[in-house]
Amino acid sequence: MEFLPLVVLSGLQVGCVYAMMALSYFVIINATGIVNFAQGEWMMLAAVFGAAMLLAALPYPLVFLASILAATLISLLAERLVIRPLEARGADINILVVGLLGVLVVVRHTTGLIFGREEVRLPGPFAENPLILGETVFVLPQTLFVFAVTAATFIALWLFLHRTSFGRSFRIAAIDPLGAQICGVDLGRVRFAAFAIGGLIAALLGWLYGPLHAAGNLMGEAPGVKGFIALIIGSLVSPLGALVGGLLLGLFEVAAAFYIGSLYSEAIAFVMLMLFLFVRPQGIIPARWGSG
Amino acid sequence: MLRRIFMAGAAGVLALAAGAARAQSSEPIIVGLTYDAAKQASYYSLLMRDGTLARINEINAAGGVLGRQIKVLTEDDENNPAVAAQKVEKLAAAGAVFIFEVGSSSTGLAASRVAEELKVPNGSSANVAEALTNPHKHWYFRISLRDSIATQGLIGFLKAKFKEPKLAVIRDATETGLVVSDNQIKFLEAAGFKYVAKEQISPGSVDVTAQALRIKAANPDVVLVTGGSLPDLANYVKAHARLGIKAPMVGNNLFATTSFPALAGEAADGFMFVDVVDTGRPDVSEADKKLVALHGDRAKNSTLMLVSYDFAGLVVDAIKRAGAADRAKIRDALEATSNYPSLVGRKGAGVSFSATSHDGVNNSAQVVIRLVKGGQYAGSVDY
Repeated sequence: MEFLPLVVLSGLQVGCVYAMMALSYFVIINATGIVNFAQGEWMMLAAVFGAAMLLAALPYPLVFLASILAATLISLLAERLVIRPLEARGADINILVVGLLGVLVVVRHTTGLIFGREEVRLPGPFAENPLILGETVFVLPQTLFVFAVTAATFIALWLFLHRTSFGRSFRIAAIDPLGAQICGVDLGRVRFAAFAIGGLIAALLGWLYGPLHAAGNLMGEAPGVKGFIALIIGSLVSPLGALVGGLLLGLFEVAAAFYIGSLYSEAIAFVMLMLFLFVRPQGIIPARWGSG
Repeated sequence: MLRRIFMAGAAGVLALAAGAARAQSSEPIIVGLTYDAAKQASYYSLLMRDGTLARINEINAAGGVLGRQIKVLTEDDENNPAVAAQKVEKLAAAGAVFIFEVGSSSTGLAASRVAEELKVPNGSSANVAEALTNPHKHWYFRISLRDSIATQGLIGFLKAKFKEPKLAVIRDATETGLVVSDNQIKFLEAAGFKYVAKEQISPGSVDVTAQALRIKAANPDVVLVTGGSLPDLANYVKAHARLGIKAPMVGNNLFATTSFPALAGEAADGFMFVDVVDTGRPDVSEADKKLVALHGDRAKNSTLMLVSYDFAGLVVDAIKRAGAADRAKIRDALEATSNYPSLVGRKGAGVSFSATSHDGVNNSAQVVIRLVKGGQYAGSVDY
């Protein structure tokens, strides 16, 4: 019990990373039906751009904003240069998913070619000295930053979906695209905005995850996979599902590593995924709590 | 008349032959190099490629070998064994008299098998898989720090410094991490060491507090930090320091990767790791300066670049001793290499090959224990 607070803090931190990645998937899936597995790459781009610009001694706030903006813009380019032309040719949704998988490979390896493949340090916005909360409890400033940004992002998205007319058109497009079009919702605009918001969330995550790990062209892979698992566990149709799925997966992974042992921790996410697929394939959060 | 025509013809043939011989001797000696340009092995493969090319360029600038320049044909193996095998065939067909394989061990295995069939001398500066030289190959040579030798060196160090320490091991769960650590654990257990904890990190983890807490509770004398994913293991090093675990940490040769001190920060102070290059040696330091001048900070204290630079020099030395750009003669010359003044190992440890061993690093005396201090690599540990 002595170390329980530390284990919980650790699990919540890991869970926030998964939840943010799950949320970036959710935004695009919900508005367009497309599973964009390249979301991890926008996270990677923000971190790699950030590390490169900091190496060039640019001011930290500028680097933070510019790297997030650049990664988000590239996610929009993927929508403009891949999704839109394919859709104009009448491509099926599976083709769009495969097209985005191609984007993932191109972005990942081009980044490696340009910026190198070594994983480098991305300094976080705060010092690395832990804040001591008790005899056996401490927390890193970066961990508090992760909690704060995750909470702010989920609240902002909820407000956008429920308190703005454009957000409502997102929800309508998710429920019934044809009906939404009849009601005057511009599905092209919704899709563009979904890629922008999804890209922005993933790019923000680059600055949460990068300082806790490293920046490198392959860094998008693990959070990309775990984030998607978290979304399936939570629910594909609700931002709350992304949050619950992410936190649950993170807490479970860390608790299992501490109480059972870490030799099998690699399998935990996949065991949870299989269990949920068999027992509750719709996810923890009921559909009626979804974005609609 | 006929005699005159015959004489003129003979003179013409001789002139043509002399011209051809002149042309041949002025043609460059071709060597091949397979590497991973953009896939998972590329981050170390590119360092090895650049170290190899740096030495060849240096030799060419000094006049080449046997009065000829050396031309390096490079091929991307795409970190795919099947592609690597094809690329070796292509390089052999282009006349390569030696092929440097600086990709992963798995592509190296496929490449070396084809080179063996085609009877082309080949080898690697840093591929560590035991299967590359076991069973013995006639045409393959390397100066890599194999796991078995690294662990022999580690065993010698642990026994000399800590007598019979209780060990904890922390490793990452990448494929490379599991293979490397499994071997190390096995060798250490066979040497009589006892483990009080075995912990593992999922690739891409942001927090390894749980693993560090379990290791702290097990109260080991030494923590072995081993695997293939530097950021994951650097995270452990940070958690170890944060939790105030007193046991010293010893890592595998992954920690020679230049970004480690930056990734782990102050937590890496006092961290020791097994390596094959002692950057405290003046000749190593001189080579390092040359590589940094060419490739910037990524080359600083890079073992992979240094051993590749060294291996290229050894291969060219063998070509010189062979006296001809002939594959069989070069192979024989490589095999006859004795006490080559190499950059690998502790000071004074030369590299030798023999008819039965093509592993240039084959005893624990060649193993170096390096130290991190003050946020940077700080020479080696005496033991």
